[in-house]
Amino acid sequence: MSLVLADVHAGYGGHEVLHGVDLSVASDELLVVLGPSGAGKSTLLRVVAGLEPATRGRIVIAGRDVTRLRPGRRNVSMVFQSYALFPHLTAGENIAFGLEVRDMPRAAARERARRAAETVGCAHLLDRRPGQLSGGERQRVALARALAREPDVFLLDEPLSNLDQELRVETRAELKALHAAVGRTLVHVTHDQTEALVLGDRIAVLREGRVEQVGTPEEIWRTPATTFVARFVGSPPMNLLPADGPLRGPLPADPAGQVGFRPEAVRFDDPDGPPGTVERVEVIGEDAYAYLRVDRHPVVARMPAADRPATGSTLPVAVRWADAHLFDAATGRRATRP
Amino acid sequence: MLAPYALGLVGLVLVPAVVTLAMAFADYDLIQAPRWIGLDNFRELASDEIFHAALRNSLVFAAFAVPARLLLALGLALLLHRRAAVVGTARTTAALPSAVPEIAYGLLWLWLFNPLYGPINQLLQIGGGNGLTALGRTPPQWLTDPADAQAAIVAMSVFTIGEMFVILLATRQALPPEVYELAAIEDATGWDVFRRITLPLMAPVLGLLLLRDTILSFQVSFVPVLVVTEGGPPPYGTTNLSLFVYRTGFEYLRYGYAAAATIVMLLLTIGAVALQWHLIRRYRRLYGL
Repeated sequence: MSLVLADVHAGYGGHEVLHGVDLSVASDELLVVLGPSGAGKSTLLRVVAGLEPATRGRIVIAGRDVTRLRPGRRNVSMVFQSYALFPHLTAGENIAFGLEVRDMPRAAARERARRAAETVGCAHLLDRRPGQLSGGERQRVALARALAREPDVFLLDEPLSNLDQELRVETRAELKALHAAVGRTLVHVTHDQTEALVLGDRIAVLREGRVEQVGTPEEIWRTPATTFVARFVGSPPMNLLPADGPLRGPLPADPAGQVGFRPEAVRFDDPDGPPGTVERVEVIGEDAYAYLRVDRHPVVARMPAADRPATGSTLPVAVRWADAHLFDAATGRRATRP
Repeated sequence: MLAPYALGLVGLVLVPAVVTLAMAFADYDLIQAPRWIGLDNFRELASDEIFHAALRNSLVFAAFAVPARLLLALGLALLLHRRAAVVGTARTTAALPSAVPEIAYGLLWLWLFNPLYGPINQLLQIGGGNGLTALGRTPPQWLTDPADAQAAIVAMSVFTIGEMFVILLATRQALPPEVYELAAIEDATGWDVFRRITLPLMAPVLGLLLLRDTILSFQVSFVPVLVVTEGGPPPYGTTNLSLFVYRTGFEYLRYGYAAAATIVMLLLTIGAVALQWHLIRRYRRLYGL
């Protein structure tokens, strides 16, 4: 394991933000930390970098306990959301900064900077200043700067959030390829679930300073550990109804349980299903989402746009029960299915 | 809306400037009508020992006071930009001397500099005997030795940096924190951070303050010289250009001659500003700012 967090607590001015985070990341793994804003994602990253102190717990990087070390001694590099490029230095000088302040000879530092720039495809920008670069180009320079020093751990704080949609999708793929080529520990923080599902070898879902679930994108999607993960990952979010509500399948009708099923799992082909009233229909290209009400419970269904029902119509609603989940209503935790 | 300002500008700046320019080529003593004398005033200035002393004193003051004021203000701003326990009090203390009226400030220093019972020399004499310092030397004769008196005027000026301090404090606080966090992650030393980040990023404002303080340096030393040293020690130990102009004009009623000296002052200021502007432009081009 290249990065281990054991029971890490952190906070600002008496207000605790992280309440005991345990995580371990393998040496060539890309871990995505996913969570809504305010979940403590950035704090987690800053605690690993040493920019904020851990009030309790231990942080181990490449076998060294770095909990009490200053940021410069942890051998990590970080890409900030704002990129934090030095406006008065050229892209090349920006990339070489970390090497030069560590007393690498200038020529050698420039050569390393040039190679790092080639790796991320910004070698043609080396003589320009940040003010002359587009958002995407700045992002590349920031990435090259992180790469140049060959650290033990890369920390990326929402690096794609300032890019427009098209560039974000493109850069996402490049980032994944880059990680595969470099093969080092990379922790990527985002609030974008699609980004997390596409990028991550594993995803850690963070909520209010606690890790809700760690798993592969497949695990997070197929077997969400809590109702929070179930609803946070997926758009529109998973439907959650009381287990003894109108939609009952082969699952136990436990009044303390909740059934969850994604919009894709809603069917209309069972004439014995309870009636649902279509309140609203959204069409997004080939797909349509119907927002229904089944016995006062909201249910979202996904279907091909061509098969969408009319607003106001009533349909028998059913669920593909193989794709349904059972949760404990009180704790929100996943219940084992009988 | 602009009328009161325009009126003030014309009445208090433009008209006096034009009158001064005209008077520099005339002989005028308030009693007789002005007499056109061409460049005679400037010829007299060129051979006037008192004017030479005043010019020398003004340049010496600018050469020491301007860098000292700027460095001290920068040092205080960098020291006090963080939030910490006593920082608020310290900031107020740094800015406060600038709020004291100039005459009161001068009279205060007159007491501070008193060679016999002034606190500065009392402090310097701690550990020494027979009125000497701990190193066995005579304490500075602030108001009677020419060099010490010059140093006293510079010393007075380095405490009235409140405005510069506030501007530099605001400039430092406006710098993006991530840039410093990145430097911390890269293990940059304090000196590297100052040299490679803080100084270049603050340079445009520092350049501006340097220009402005140079322009002001001929003015800020007027009241101290008038109140504390009265231009002395005799004959002209601390007489500077502004005191020279004041005495020549308002005490000896030689308005034309004083106006000519003012023009020389103005030309000197323009020269200094042009030089600095040139250097700043070169710096900005170097960093593409």
